[in-house]
Amino acid sequence: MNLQGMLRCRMGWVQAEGPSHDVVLASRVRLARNLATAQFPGRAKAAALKAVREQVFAAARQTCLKGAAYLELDKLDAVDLRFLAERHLISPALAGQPGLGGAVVDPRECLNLMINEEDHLRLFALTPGLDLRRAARAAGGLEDELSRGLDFAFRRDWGYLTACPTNLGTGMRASVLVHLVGLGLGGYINKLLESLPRAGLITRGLYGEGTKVMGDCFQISNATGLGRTEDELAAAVESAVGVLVQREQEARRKLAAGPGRARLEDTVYRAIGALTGARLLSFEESCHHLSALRLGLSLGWEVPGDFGTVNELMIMTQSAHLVMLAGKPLVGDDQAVLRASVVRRRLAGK
Amino acid sequence: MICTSCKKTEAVVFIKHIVNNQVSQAALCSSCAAKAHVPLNPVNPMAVFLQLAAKAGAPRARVPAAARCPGCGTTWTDFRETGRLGCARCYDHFAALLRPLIPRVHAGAYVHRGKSPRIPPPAD
Repeated sequence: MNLQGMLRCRMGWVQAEGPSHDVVLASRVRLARNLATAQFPGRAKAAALKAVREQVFAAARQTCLKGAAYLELDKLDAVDLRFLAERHLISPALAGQPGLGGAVVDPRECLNLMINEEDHLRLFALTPGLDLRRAARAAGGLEDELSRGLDFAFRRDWGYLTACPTNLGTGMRASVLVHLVGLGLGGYINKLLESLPRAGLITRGLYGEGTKVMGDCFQISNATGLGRTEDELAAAVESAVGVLVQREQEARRKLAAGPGRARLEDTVYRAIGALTGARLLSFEESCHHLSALRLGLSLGWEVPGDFGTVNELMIMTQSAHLVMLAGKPLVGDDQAVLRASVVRRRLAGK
Repeated sequence: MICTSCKKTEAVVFIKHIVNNQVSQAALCSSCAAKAHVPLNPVNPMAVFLQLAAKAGAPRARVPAAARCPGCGTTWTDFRETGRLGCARCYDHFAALLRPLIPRVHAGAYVHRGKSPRIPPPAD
């Protein structure tokens, strides 16, 4: 466990600020890039992958990331790797098979690099709330700085070249993490999610591709990155998500004002009862109850905590985070006990 | 085909994931798909792309399926199996096969309109 110091870092992107933060936890722009003269990670040999990592690190040290943490993933243990994935700094896939991957993490975790996953380089910019255009500008700025030291694979017709042709063009994935508890409780969620592909959007679970939906949180992003500029892509996703935000806020108000109010209050306050009183909490259970607590907060009800605390708890209650906090492996009920304790203390303001 | 999740009902949606060159597949019935929030008509660009790529290995292709990219040795067959190209030169080597497929995966788009790599200033 080499990354315990990161437990003290305040993740800038989970702060409850930014537009529509009652529904949108964070916005993220990812740019995928490959070096022009190296084989892509799926094909390259170890020596070449190490060389790519070194080149990217060297270029990053000449940018605004010079004070960041530079991590060689093969030197980290399984807990560290899961910890990075839990904080959305590397993908679950890379955490499972780190190979000769790398990560560069800035102190506020709002600008990060992931090296040698599917592509040589994935660059991420995160902002709180719904603000994809700001995230796109930050990502573009960092990419400009990196390109002074790195020669990216590019064709004039197909743009930035990626290992998977579905990421061609801008190499950009503009995504938001949204909390759709109102639409879920109102029974509208499936219909809504089925309509998103018509707008060129895709939906994924909490940790991205192939992952489960938890705590009523979804990742929504553009499906393709070719044929539009970076600004157009960010604006399109932001506009579509803006409509979704309005529908979600409407659904919440309707639930609170309608004949189901008593049931809704019961759901929220039972969740608070569990969060503030339970001695054992699984991660799924805590996500479920935190979702209800977020709903209570957004409706202005008298509930403990605030949006920032709830957002942080969604990160802090994950398994690798708890192992790091304990400083030792957690067996049997230990993890559930520690999770319940962390939640009780944070909601009591400790 | 029976749903791989509940193993009881007929599957209606088929998903193929490729992560780190490992291919995994699932077939879900409508009920399990709904529980997993998987749309019944998923737009999964990679799945569409692979189906089209399989058809594109047809006799009229100018590059034989076994021909290797000079940059990395990847063949079109390798690409069809993994969904991944091996290096930047693959895009040149397989351009004739990729050209008709790309617009179909990118909602009709066939040309890049975004930023380009920085052009270094001329040497003084």
